[in-house]
Amino acid sequence: MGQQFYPHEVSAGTVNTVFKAKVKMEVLRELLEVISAIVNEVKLTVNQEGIDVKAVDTSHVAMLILSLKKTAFEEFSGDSVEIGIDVEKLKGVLRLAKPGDIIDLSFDSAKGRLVVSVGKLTRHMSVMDVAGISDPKVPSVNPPCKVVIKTEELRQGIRGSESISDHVTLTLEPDAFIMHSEGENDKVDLKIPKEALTTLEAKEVAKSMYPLDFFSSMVKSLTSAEEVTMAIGNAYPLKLEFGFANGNGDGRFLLAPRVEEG
Amino acid sequence: MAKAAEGFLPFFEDISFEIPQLRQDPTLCLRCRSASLLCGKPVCPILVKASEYSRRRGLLTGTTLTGSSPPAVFVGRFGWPKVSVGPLVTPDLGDTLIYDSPEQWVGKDLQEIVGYRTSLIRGTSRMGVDEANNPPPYLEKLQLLSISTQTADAETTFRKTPKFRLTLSDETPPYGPSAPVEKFSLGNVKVNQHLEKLSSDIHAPARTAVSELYGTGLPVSRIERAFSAGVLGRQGRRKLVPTRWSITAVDDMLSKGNMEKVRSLPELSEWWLYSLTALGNRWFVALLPGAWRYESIEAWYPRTLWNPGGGEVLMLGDYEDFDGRWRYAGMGGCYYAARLAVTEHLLRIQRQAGVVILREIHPGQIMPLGVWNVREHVRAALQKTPERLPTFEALLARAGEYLAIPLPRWMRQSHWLREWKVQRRLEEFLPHSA
Repeated sequence: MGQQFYPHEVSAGTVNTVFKAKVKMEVLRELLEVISAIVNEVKLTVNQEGIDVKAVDTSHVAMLILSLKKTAFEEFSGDSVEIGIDVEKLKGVLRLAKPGDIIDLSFDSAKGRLVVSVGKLTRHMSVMDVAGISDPKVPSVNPPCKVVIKTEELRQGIRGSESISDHVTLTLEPDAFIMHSEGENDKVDLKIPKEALTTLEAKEVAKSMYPLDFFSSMVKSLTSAEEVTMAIGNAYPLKLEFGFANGNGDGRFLLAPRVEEG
Repeated sequence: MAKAAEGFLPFFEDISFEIPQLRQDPTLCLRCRSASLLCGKPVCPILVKASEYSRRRGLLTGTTLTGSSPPAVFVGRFGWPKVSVGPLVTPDLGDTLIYDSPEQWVGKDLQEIVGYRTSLIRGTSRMGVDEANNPPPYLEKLQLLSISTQTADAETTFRKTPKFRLTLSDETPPYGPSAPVEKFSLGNVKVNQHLEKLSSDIHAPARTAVSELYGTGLPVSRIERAFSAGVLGRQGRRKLVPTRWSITAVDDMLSKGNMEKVRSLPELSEWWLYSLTALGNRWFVALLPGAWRYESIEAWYPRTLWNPGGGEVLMLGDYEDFDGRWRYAGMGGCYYAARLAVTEHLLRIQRQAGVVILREIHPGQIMPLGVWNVREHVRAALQKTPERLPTFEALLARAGEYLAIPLPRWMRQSHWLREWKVQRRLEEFLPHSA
């Protein structure tokens, strides 16, 4: 039976592209978690190797750059294509899946629909116009000092800061990592000596202040990474690198600093 | 305006006797603005005083008034869900449309505006808000009035002679005396076709109707009047809405609709600023590069309406980020009225941007005029040609020249101005701009 096309569904001059994949629920969930730490709408760039994401938040303060190899998927086939996703909507479909479920994704650019199947359930989702989602320019951020730290320890520091202040100061000293937060009356410090850190490379002291809301949602979005690498400078962007999807995914967050008032 | 202002000023001398708590907390009146009666009095002493000092005018000696309605309908908020509803009528004949058309008041002086309003007598009659669905004949007439576009002849018989009083509130424009209505009859009414169409549409939700009417270019004050009179919405769900609530509800709904569209526009990359002085207010509207975000700050000088006893300038502001806000703004309806004005402007210039409004209320603002004062003056400021500036520092320099309150004070108060200074952005670390 011939497929019926409606003129308004096809933009002039575009070629119909198709992408199909099967992926474990946990992998897709991890991907969406880190994306939603930064944005609500995202452009997934699908190519022969896997999926790439570059996203910046509306205030241009936080950025995510990641790539997920096709080896992270159970099946992965199709053309290079860009798909505009409403992250919360796709997360909503995930809530219908159980751990271990395989999610079936298929995208047909002519129809502008993403079809998501979980078991016997099939959901057709409209996608966003990728033209409306701009490609951020990625700054080349190379902070001088570096620490590899347990994600759980960062989480504890964040929990301690959240009731105190809206921002957090990260300091790398030659022999310790310090996370400091100060409110009007209270302050809190998390200090981890070099011996308790996987790696600490700081020839001099590096210190920057960051907005806690972004820092917190970044760290909390990491569901499987046991360790992360953080690089900072003085009043300089934070680079937070992490792995996910059983070693098949690499990501980095960038976060612009706050400068002292006055 | 200056003359009118002098007439009012003495009442600030003794207001601290009426509101002793002001000594401990000078912000008491500013936070309340008569809405919650934080001072514990049965009526707001400031409004009573302001009204006492206003120009007296004998409007009516008997109980029957032959005149017109601009048109205007007023719904009170006290006693909700049984509220007091009625027409605003004036002994003046001919075209009195301007008496209830705040969109046309920009450029007029205070006396002129108050003049329109003091001649409006408010008829009252108690009604359940749900009666909007099945209006008795009296309400039917009011609903007809609420969708008309022209002044209608009206004859009103009151149960007693209306006593002179000027009623003031922060949200609604002032109006004159009120008295219970015995009988109300209307002459010929010419209805607005858009309002008529949506009032007979019993399937469109009120929100949809309001936004459709806005799309036709109908003045916001007309939409608010129809919304308040309960002629919009699904059958069975129509309600009379107190006038002061309806104004802010409509400003909020319409500006949210505009914000949806603004969020996908290209970002402004410069600093634009607009300024305007009117009715004792100095307005400064700054557009900031980047995504949509908004802030509005008012600075009340001592001896102005809501800072009657204060020895220093009081500031109050609210803000929201790209995603909007959910808690009602502490500064009240003004926040939403100005948000409507600025989102309209962003749609006109087809850019999204941050918007910061700084408003100085200088001595001379001695009576509340309603939030139209904010909406229409911000609109008027934004009609001017903007000053386009290359940097944040240049913007601050201009603010320092235009505003009377020193810049550091504004910087302490303003979330988005401070944020621009303190929070760096990632593009500042791109190789070419390093």
